[in-house]
Amino acid sequence: MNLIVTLDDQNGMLFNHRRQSRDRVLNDRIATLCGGRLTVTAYTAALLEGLPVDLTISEDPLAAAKPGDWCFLEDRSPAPALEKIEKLVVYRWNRVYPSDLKFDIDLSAMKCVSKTDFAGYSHEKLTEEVYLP
Amino acid sequence: MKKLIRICLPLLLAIALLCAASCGLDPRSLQRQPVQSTDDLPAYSGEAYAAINGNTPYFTDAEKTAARQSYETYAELDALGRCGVCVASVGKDLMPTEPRGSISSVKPTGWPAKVEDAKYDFVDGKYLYNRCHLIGFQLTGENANRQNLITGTRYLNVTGMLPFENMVADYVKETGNHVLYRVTPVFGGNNLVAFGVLMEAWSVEDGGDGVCFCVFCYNVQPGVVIDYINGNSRLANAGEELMPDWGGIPAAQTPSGDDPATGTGETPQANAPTLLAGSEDVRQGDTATVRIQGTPGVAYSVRVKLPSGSYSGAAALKDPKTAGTDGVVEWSWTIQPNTRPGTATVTVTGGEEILEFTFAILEKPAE
Repeated sequence: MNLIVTLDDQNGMLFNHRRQSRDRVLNDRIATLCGGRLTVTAYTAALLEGLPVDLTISEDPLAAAKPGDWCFLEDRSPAPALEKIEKLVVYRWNRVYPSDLKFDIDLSAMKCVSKTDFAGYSHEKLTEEVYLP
Repeated sequence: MKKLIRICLPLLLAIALLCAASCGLDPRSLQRQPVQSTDDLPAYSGEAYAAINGNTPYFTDAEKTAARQSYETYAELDALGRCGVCVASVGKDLMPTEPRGSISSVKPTGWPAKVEDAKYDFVDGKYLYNRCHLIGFQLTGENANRQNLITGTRYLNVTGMLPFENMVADYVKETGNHVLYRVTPVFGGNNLVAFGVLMEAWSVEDGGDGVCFCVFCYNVQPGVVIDYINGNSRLANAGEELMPDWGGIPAAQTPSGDDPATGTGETPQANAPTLLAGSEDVRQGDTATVRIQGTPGVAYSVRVKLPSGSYSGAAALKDPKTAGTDGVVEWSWTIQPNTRPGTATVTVTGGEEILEFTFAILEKPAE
């Protein structure tokens, strides 16, 4: 499984059941990255409405995603699926937001193979980091 | 644009308040203080902020309805020169288009006579106190507005308040929607320095799906003990409590002990809610709406059982809503395109009363 997450400067994911931020340029990039197929929860499906992506909606997308599948995870802990991760793509907001759900995988135990900055629509600079186990 | 807004502000505010009045909103309630005493707030426990009221803001439905256009209001300073409640419906048109100007001319209450007296090497930037915007510059572009600046620690400004301001600012920039936003400084008694600020936010056009929070940010600085009466400060001893006098202190500028919705000071007795309007047939991908007549001041929750037997997880349905002075409560949410067609059951509960009805979810027509 190839996992995508969005994080702030403190590795936050969610606050009060809501995503920390959003950016339409980033959504387009994710749609391209995943090759038009993505496994998500219903919460994330609403964010991607209108994009050319074939969505598999699951209450447990980490369990539903098969080898080679792309999964965009916003509203739950990714750690239970650590063993399944073939590639991890982290998008950084480069901002600090409040958070009560944190990303719970130790990135220092993975290998960062690329890091790319790009401009978003409402964010001056977004960063894409790609990790391999 | 901001300059135009500023020139037209009195007119825009009058329009906003007229609209508010036409929606049954008493304009004075915009600056109602939700916190009556420090007993309403958890004591500082080492975190920069704490969620209050289940992270649900205290806005009434009438206040939410009036927030469909941008406005900003800042309470007059009180007899001691202290700031009060600041409220805005933050829209893109209020956001700054120029860099922030100097605010050094403003000396909020509790500001030290000599800033050198409140300097600590371990504080980011060395100085304990910042002139701390209640509604952040990035949201409404206010510079040296003395009705919007308090004496706040660096920790309150950067670790406590800034993340919430960022969340609101980026949401508004991305969506073009409005966020109803209220910041209330909480002073104890005649203290000149606030214990902290209550921050409330609710995204208007999507019914709180995008942004919804209610938090108290503490005006503390780890390692420093502050005298909130006058702003004096000193190094904390090891293990010393930073806010030792917390608890039972009436919040300043409290207009009365009345319940904000009913004005009676008593817990309202809930009558059975009745259905004013509800979607009958909703297609996949469309918006469903429920409007009920309830009892002012009573909190109502709604659950929607889908044809599949599971319950809707729409964020707009997650948090209870408190009926305003007109008693009307409304929910709107999107039926996901993949929701199974069939009969959905809506259950509204408030007090000990229940209202239940059904509507049909129809298949989206083929394009």
